[in-house]
Amino acid sequence: MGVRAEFELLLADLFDGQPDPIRNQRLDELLQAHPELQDEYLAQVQMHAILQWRGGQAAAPSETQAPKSEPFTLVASRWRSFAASLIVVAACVAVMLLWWTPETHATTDVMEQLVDLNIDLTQARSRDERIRIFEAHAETLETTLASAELPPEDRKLAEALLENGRELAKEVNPATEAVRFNELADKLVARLELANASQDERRMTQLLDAYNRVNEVGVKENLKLALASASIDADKKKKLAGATTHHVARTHRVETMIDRNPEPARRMFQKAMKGHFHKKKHKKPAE
Amino acid sequence: MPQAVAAMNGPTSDFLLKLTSHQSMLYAAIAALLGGVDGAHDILQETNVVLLEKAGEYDSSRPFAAWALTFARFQVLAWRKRQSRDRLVLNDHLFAVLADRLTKEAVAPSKRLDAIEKCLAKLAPDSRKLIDLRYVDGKSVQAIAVQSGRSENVISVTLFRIRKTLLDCVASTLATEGGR
Repeated sequence: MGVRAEFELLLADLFDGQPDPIRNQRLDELLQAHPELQDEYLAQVQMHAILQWRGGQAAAPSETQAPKSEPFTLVASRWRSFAASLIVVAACVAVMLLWWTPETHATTDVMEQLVDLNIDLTQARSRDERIRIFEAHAETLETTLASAELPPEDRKLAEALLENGRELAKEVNPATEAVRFNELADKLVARLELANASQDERRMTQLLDAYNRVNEVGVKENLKLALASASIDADKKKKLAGATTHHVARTHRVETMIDRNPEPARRMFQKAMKGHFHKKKHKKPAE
Repeated sequence: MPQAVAAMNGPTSDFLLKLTSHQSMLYAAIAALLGGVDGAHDILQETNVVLLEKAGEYDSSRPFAAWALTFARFQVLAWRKRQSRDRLVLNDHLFAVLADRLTKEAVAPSKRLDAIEKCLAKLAPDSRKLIDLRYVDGKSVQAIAVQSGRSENVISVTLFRIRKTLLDCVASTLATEGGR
């Protein structure tokens, strides 16, 4: 058997076979004796790894590519800017009105309240305060959720929000909360991508508002608190680093998705991401 | 871990974006230094922790890939020290040679991923199906062999050749588009 044929068999076995010290040693000998094979070794292993990564078999945080779109700038004349502003304002008013139409009110309301509850809970820094907040709203929200007519995927998301609320009321733990909010943000982005694909601007605006609060407060603020903690151990550091890169990748993905929308929808989505359309649905209980 | 906290704020969000967009490149390089993907994900996460801690030391005028690979290399070295010798695919000398080569030849990850997508789209249907079974469905060579009625050896060698076809195609695409 020629050197190349042997090398190819060894590499194929390295990727697909069982650990084998004798094979490893022979591969090592070949690579040292034939430096011309080293490039091929590097290329083959990296291709194998990237195919795994791409297929989601690497069990690693998702990634994004570098930004492709330029930041939004208005380069039109003063008159055109004024006209554009009017269109945006009109679009925003339309969204506000659409948001509150009776047929969507129940769905929006329960989801909004659940997000509000989660945000209030995670911002409360003592367990007692959290229990008070949760007990003041949980029963009503459970009843509302049970009777609300929600599409199955929205119901799953609402139930996940309620469950997260229950967990938040049990203890104050920024690291665990950041990871759980990361999962909720992923679920919201999955809904966002569907709304974006079907060009449902009203739904997009609602979801972006919820996503913004979950991502900025639930994920980012908790990551900051957790990373600043002196008692953080190596395993937790690793988990938080993964959560951080995942958070940044997702944030970039959402921003890119928004940037790819035409005006005036893009401007409206940017406003939703900044919380411009948010109106809190419940108040914290009095102390 | 104050640097990591700083890395989450305004001016250094660019650093995090770079870190995120280089994850597949780092994963692939770590796998190459390990001699396979076993343990690559854990080492990638350990590398991410170090990179977040060192964020303040990064000079944005330098290529991120080469800078990050330096730390990945140290993490792989630390991993090697924890393993018994017979588990290592590469000896110490070869490890150093290949690590140097990887650092010099880092390819912009987004260009490489784009090229791989284009090349996957050009594969023959049977080849594409085999790649999807192995890498998207996550099936072992043994399972694919049973499913297709062929020997494990044939499947393994076929996969090797498809990866080689992809590598040739990616090299040609990057050369045409100026990716290196």
